[in-house]
Amino acid sequence: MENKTFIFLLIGLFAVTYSTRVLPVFAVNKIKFSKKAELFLNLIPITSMSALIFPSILSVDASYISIGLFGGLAAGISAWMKLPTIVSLLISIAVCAVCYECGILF
Amino acid sequence: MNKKQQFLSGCLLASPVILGYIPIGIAFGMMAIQSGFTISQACSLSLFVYTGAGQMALCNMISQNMSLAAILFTVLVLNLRHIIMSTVVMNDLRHLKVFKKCLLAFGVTDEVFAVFCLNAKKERSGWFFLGLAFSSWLSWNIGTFLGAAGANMLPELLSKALGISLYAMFIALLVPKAVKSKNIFFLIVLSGLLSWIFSLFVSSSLAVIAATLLAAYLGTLWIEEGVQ
Repeated sequence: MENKTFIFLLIGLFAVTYSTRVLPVFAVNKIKFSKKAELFLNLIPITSMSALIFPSILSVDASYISIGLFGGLAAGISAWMKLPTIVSLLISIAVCAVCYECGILF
Repeated sequence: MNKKQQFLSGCLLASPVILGYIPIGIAFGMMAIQSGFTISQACSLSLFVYTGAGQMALCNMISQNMSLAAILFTVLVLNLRHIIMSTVVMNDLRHLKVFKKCLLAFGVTDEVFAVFCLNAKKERSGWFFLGLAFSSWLSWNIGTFLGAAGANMLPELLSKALGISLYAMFIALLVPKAVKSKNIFFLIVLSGLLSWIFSLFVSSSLAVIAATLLAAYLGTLWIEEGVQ
């Protein structure tokens, strides 16, 4: 891409990205959270991660549901067995690689 | 813990994020080159914009010759969820000076936020967040550079299998919470279901935002105890 066009794009992207992150710095001091609001905010990470996982994990490979299904199950079972996060992650990647290699694709 | 220990503990807890960001960064670097960015442009995007989903979407939109305004609006919508996340982080860091908070705010991403929040409340200091956010940001940039510079060199099998990383990480973070509390288990199921139902009607990024907010609101109706 031409550098001049790119600079405009970069500045614009920086603005729309950083503004959403920095806004609460100036808003949060003015707001006192009630107990209920605090609970709401504490639930947000759980609900946002869940909403990000499902249903889009099934289309992690646009052609085959099996990749997201088995990769996700592998991560879930590993975490349930109390393995560290990194180990669960690696097991999940390995399971996906096995699915591709052995043709477990549907 | 002193400042250095807090910073290092942040770096250490960032390890699952780093493991996720390097491969996804590599994928972005490759995508960026394919959609016509130079290596330095791809790296500048990761250095200054730093939004995984937004940068990926950007590559798609550039390939489709979308207008600058449409691109910026789409990325803004994709980023709206950061308002919520940054509010939570800044609420925990409210004792810090404004300029420090402005600097730290740049580092708020889905994954950094998740790790920050799943850590004990008393350990959520500014230095801890700096360690966590800085190492995550650095790994995203290292990944981008590797992907852009070495586009097409990673074996196809591995680059395909790495796509699961982000989801696997979220699942690994959520499962222990679900095992501990039935309420949280139901909340997770509810959020996923809502996200799926909404995605049938609106774009998936909008569906995620709507499901996140609605599920968290519904959660406050039946969950009483504080969630940490």
